[in-house]
Amino acid sequence: MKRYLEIALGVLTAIGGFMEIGEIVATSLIGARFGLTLAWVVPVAVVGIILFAEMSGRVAAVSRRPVFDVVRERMGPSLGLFNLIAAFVITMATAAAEIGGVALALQLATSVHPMLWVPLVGFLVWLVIWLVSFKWMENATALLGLLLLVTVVALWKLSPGWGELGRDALSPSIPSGEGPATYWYFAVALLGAAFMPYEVFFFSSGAVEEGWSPRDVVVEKANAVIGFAVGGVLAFTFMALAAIVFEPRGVEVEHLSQVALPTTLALGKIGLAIIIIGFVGATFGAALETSLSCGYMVAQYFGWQWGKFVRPVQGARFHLVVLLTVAGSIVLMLVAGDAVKLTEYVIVLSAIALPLTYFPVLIVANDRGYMGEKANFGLINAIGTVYFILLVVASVAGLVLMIVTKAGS
Amino acid sequence: MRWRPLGPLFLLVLVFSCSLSPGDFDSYRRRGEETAEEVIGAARMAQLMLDVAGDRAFRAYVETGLQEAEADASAAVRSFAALRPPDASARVFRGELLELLEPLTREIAEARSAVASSEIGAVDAQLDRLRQTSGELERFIRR
Repeated sequence: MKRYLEIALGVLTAIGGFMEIGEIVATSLIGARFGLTLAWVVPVAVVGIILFAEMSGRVAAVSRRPVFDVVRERMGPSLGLFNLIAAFVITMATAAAEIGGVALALQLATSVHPMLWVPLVGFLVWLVIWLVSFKWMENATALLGLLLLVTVVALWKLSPGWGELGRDALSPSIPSGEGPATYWYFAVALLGAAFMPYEVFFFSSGAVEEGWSPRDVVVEKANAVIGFAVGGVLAFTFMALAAIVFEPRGVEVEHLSQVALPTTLALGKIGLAIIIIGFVGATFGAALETSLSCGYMVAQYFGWQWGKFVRPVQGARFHLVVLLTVAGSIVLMLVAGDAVKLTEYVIVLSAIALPLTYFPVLIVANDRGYMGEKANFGLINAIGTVYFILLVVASVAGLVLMIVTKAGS
Repeated sequence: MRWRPLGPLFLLVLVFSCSLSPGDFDSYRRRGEETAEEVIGAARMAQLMLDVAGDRAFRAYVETGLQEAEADASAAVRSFAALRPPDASARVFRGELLELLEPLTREIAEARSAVASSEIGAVDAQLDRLRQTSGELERFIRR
């Protein structure tokens, strides 16, 4: 019974954890501009993130060491340092965008300017990391993030032409008025939004925080497969709502208030209240995860004591990195000024850096020296390799398309 | 040492590319049409916000949405107005377009006052004005 509860809770956490500011913004922006013609990217991205999250969780459960620890050992200090710098910069920028996302959600409830919320939200992020246990922190925010499922009810209530919606989703094409370069740029952005590098570091470090062992591999697989798959449904729902409400009117999505509008049109004040709480839960949870991930990767690279499973005095350097990350994220958000714009850049930069994060995971998960009988078997290895090639192509294309399309404008 | 002369050259290219304006009437007109589309999009967003104002959404939410629509429209108009028209016909086009863009931006801004007044009649009247002004702009860019 306890095991089923663990699976259920883990799945809920993964669903809530999948939706963060990047996914929310990317799916809505793309739905409003391209309708459902880019919906095919969602299942492609979901299968990929399931594959790599499962691999990184398995590596942590079997070796009892998180991914970055093994990355440094396998890749050596120089390449490992390069990997660390790239992942740290992107994850800190993601943390800034998530803090900005919480501030934007609070603005919707209070009309107080989001930049006034940013320092307070940042402080709360640090306070929760300092005071609250890992399990409570992860589960509470993920369960709040689950309130975003209200969008599924909103989609049903708006009762779109389901047949037409299905046809659009199943027949990818470039809409009139858009060029192939912008179409592919946003395809890469959507992929990047699902494959944020911090997800792998957090998933594997979380496995160590929660003391997973090889017998937990089944729970870990269920969490990744069911949780991310349902998260993908949620991503599709956001895209469909934007496609129904905004695309026919020629309105582009540039603000979080717009993302909440279809649900408000369908369900009124109750729907609006639920989705705002969902935004706060999802983005606050992701702000915690990204800030912790920065601490994890730096501490694991330098071999310091890390984690919330030890007392802060034992992991002082880890907590210092987390504190500096939160402080840096607050400053970055205040300087950037616009969380949605920052998010748009972060997800494309994530896509560009993807091979750096995912290559070591694939290598280690294949290594029988580390993994023994839990190493990747043939089919998983083949799919993982195909995905890695896809990530390399997306990485190169993302950089080129970003310049050619002036970041999709 | 050899690279030193490239510094001023780089600056020159940067300044030149930043001050570039649309070279001919067609590209200037295209920029104008894009600006009009952006402002019409913001007006439609404001209409949607007015639709839910009152009993379907919290005032803080509607005010935020309208404020953002107003900021988007103003930014688009400002950036078009800053472009130098390349010839006489572009100057005429600019005058005509700004005459339609500015009132629509004002109507979006006034939508906030209508919501703040909490009168359903004021919100409905503002919705009508927004539709009318935005229709005029649409007709202008489609002619």
